[in-house]
Amino acid sequence: MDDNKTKLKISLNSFDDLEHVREAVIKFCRYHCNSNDEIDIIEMSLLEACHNAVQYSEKRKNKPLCELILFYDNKCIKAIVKNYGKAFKVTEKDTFSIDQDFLQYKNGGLGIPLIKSLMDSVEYLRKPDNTNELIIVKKLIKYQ
Amino acid sequence: MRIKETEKDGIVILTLSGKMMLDAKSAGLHDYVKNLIEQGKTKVIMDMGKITWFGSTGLGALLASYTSLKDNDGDLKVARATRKIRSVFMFTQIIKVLENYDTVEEAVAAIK
Repeated sequence: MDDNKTKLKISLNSFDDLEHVREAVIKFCRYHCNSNDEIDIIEMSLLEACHNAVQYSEKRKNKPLCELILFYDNKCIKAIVKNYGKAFKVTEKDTFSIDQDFLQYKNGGLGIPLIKSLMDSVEYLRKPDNTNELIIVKKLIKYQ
Repeated sequence: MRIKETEKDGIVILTLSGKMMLDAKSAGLHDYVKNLIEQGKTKVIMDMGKITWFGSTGLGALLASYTSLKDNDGDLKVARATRKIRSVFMFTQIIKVLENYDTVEEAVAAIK
């Protein structure tokens, strides 16, 4: 793999594909990350994002429920998780606050706050063709 | 996710195993704890040493269980959380309220 901008693309058609995502993400991250903790965090975040994307995606003929595109770029691991379906709200808060949000989140809706807590940035884009894109970035420790 | 219940000195130990993210059983963990509370059992240890996957469903179930137990003058401690789960606790600051112990015995001693 080239170090400057490597790329991996995975299509998901069911929850069963998450195991394949996990293996592929770990393999990709092991090539670029030095820390097992960092790999764990990226793996958990991307599994969470893909799980939610599959869960809420609308089925389309000959199209996957979700796509994960993974880059290594500019000292970061960057992931784009795409699905087709209803728009969703991304909280503006950067991290999960145990003091303020404890009760609010106990009945669900923790996916995005969890990813935000684990990763460095989470951006949401709604495309005109009703595609959702979640762009998730983790700056690698070895470059900080 | 599977739940195995044992009891020691009036403290309930729930041994959790499997994927704590994908199935309805993870969310059902809170119902399980609410059922314990109805039976008057309000001190609970969750042994998470055999959890293989952990996500927001599991996190929500833990938070909800903790809140319900505290609301009923009880307590919840976690034992043997894996490295990944400990990372989630740290990054989300849940470690401030939900203590993890290296062994079930240590968690039992702390909750008494």
